[in-house]
Amino acid sequence: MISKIYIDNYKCFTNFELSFSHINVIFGKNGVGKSSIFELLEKIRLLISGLAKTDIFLPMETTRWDRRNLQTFGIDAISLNHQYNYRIDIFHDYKGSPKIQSEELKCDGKVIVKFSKGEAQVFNDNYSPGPLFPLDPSQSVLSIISSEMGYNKVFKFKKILTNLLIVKLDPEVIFPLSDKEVVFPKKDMSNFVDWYRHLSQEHQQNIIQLQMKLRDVLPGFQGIDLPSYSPTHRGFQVSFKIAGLNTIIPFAFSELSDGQRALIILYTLLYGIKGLEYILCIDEPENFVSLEEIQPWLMEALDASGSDLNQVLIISHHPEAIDYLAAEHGIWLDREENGPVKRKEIRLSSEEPLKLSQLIERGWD
Amino acid sequence: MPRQVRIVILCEDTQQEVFVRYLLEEYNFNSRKIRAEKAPKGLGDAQQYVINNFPQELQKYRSRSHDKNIALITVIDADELSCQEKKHRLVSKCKQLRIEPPMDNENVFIFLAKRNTETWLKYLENPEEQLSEAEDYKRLGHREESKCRPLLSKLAEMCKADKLVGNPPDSLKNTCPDFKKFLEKVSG
Repeated sequence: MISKIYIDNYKCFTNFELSFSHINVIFGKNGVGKSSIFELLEKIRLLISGLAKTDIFLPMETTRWDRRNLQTFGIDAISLNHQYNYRIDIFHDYKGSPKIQSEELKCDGKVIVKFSKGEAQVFNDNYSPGPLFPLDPSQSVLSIISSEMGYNKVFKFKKILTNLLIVKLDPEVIFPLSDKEVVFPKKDMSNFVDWYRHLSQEHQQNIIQLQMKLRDVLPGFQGIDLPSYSPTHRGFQVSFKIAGLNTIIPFAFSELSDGQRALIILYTLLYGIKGLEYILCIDEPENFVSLEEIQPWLMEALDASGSDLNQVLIISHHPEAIDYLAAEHGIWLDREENGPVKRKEIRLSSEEPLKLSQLIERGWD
Repeated sequence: MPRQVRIVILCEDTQQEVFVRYLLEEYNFNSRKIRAEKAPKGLGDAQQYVINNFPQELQKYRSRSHDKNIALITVIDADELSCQEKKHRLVSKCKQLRIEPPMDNENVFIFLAKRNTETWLKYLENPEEQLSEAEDYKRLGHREESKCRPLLSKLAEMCKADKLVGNPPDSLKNTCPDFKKFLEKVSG
């Protein structure tokens, strides 16, 4: 799991550090940078996995009142046996692509990846140094590491970050047909059907458990099928029993309500990827979901965090999420008049008759 | 199926919530029928929140108590007081607000761990260990709350068999038979 992040000179973050536990709810006013944290994690995921180069770090995303050309990001992570510290400095010269000025990964306090002045070095699992080699400063050293190369410690860290699943779901953009399987869904879940198709092939046990869960969650739910429409195209059909009629009708995904689609996706995020070591970062999961369905999902997310999922990070404004998780796992972000982001302490007296969400609602915090 | 809450858990923190929730799941209660009302602050004054909110939750329960499947479970640590003294605080709060304290025929159950829920968890981790109900095992370190699930399976198994093995804390010994009777009422 990710235990800490450090952000300097990125949007509204200056010399900013944030610690996480196995589950957190991140909350705060509009514009305090909640979603920016997930955006940054997504950029780092893309850079490290090799799916993007440094040009995803836009010069206009440096802090507006900061004149430095250097951005620094740090991630501390914990795996079963090791503690990792990762740090990357990105230099903007405003001419070409931003350049990685330095990149370093430590495992249990010892350097295992190093990049500076155009030269990279990867260390073996026993910490002995590998050869120096030149590397394009627009790509991360980690992007070239694969499981077959034998750098197990480095690869383990890479896997933690490449398994960041960042979601801000929008049921309206989900394409109801699949023409291929994908192993990783898009942030807005527009390719959910492609991803579900992959999960149903590769992780059948998870999908069986998901469908059993959905029987509990969606009234009359019978099952999900992926009917074949052409040699490559599959649909996504959800069958429901109809009250008063002794019949079951299959509905296309596009015929479902936004709320039904959201619930199917939310529970897929908990059940479909069980045991696959994902870190789920989800922005406002309660959108589209009816009030009584919010706490049950949060309970399941809490249960899954640290076991079926490595970690769950939630951004939410919703009173249900704040009141359920914030006391022990809340991260309250704040800014004073568009200044740098700070973490705000949660302090409530025992005589306070209002819940935290009620204090926030009234601006009495 | 549409969600309809049957059991409300009023408790101090997440550890207490999952303790009761996982125990109920062991007795085949669907977690979707459970709602948690937790203290808004994790440390220190969470007990006062439970005491202050107990009468209101009792009234909410009573507004639906014609349904025999509806129940209220309250979880509070005895800490340095005796279980009876801590229970008295809940009752006093009701009386102070002129609300009838819980009656025997109501589906209201109070989990009162001494010194706290972590004492019970520590017993379940190693039933042979001689524990002190005066010591605060909570201070021994924070862990992921959900990790206690296997321990609750073990507790349910022992409660069902009316046999707590090893050296169970007195507060747990007293709770198990009453909880079993409470569940019979709610399930019946």
